[in-house]
Amino acid sequence: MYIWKHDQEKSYKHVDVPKRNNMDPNDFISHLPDDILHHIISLLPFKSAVRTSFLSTHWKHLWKEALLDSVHDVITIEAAITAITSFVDDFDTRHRPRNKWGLIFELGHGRGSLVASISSNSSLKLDFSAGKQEFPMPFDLFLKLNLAPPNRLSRRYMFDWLLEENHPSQREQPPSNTMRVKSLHLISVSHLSNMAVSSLVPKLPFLRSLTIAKCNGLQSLQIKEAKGLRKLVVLDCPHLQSLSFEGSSLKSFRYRGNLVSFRFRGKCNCFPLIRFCECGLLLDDAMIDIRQGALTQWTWDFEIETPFSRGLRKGNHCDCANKYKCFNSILRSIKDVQSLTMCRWFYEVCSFVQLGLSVMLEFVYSYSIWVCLLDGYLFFWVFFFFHVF
Amino acid sequence: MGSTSTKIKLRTSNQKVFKVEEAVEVQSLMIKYFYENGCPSCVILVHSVSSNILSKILDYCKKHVNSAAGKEDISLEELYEWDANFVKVDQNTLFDLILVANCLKIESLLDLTCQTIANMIKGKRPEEIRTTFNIKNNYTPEAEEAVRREKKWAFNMLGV
Repeated sequence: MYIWKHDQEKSYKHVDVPKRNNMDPNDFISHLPDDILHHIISLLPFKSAVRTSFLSTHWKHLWKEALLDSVHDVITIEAAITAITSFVDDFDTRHRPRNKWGLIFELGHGRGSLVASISSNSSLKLDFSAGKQEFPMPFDLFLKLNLAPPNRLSRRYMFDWLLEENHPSQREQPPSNTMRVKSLHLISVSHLSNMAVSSLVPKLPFLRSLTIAKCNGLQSLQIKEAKGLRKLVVLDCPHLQSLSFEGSSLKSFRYRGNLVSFRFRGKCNCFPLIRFCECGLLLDDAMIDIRQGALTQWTWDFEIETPFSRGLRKGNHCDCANKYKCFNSILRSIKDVQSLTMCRWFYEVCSFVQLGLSVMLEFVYSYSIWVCLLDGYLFFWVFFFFHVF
Repeated sequence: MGSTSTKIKLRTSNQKVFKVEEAVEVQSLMIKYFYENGCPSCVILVHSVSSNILSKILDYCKKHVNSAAGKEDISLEELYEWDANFVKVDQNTLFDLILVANCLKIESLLDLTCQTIANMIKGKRPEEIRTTFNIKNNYTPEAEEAVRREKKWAFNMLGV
């Protein structure tokens, strides 16, 4: 279609309809200009909009372009994070005049793009994967959370909380229509974006779930002051060497990747009269899939975080001084789980034989166990386990 | 805009020339722009659009302007019904309407026609939509699986 200004004898193309190969000539809808297709998709409910990506390759990304706002005048990741923060703050969960769910930043200078999207179930996803580099630079990610106390803290933890923190977010309750980000998904964070991500995290005081995935180049992940965080998921970070977590409310931990050095500051249930502490993460849901990596250097540490621990002599049940004790810590962490997935075992040596009985006794408490049987030893033990009980 | 003599003309692909009346002038942001920026003898060539599409669009603009100005006694419900009947056309006509509405920047008509297409897509399975619009599935099975995974991720993400 053309518009012709007759007096100047100058024509210009108004609508550019490129020839699209591999399309049925009767497929008129796909030949419509993209901005019209975006308009149509933005009139659809979210689920139908996403489903249009199935129609053909031409439709694959249209829904994202339609439901996310493109931002071109933001150049740095820091400025993008600021824009995302204000987008989240302004996001009205009840009144939605426009079907917009996030922002796409074209960062320029080879830094690729950043896709930030939010959802009806209060999650925020930051995806840096479009700016993926071939040779990722190593980097560390330090996340210091700033969480408001969870609604259902036990009195003991509430007491700790009030003692330790004079928390700012306790007083500043946002109006009910604004979105409270409850889960954060960080995809493909790189050495260019790690600082900006670290600066964003303390601004999300209602965070209950944190997912970190596909972070190529990530070497060490440190999460501090995560009291109140219920779920931690770390997936497919191939260069990760250590993972450190401080938080006592964790109920679900899911990990997939190399076997790395885990360092947890979990919680302890102590019984001072019998001077006994049961320490670990005490999870409801655990998944540890370490099929991707080699079993080389690793550790699994628990620090004790309880007033009772002072009265106990050093070297109690909570430390990880040797493999046996460490293994016990892991077992306690998963003792009460309702769902457990273990892919490849931590011990592929014959120390299994010594530990076998306690392993099985502990597992009796578990409700459901999913074990990826890749290893002969493990297969033997699981086989044995199910036949004895 | 006080002038009653309309100068802008629309020429269709079958060489039919339409005088732009005040009705279109009000509805179309594009023609409004031409007026306001002073284009005394503009002929807008609306390429590849037949005259019956254009007369349909002029009908639409007239109806809406007249009802808004109170020249025509029509309730809002009746106008909605008129709109609903207006878009009961075959797909090709609908797409032409969309293109012209987009080109002449007639926002309300663009919304109406796009909503009509959206209603044809809403809640349907991809296969049904493909059949409706003659869309050829050019995904390889692997690529389709990748999209399916991504969609699953999106749905998990957004909790729908």
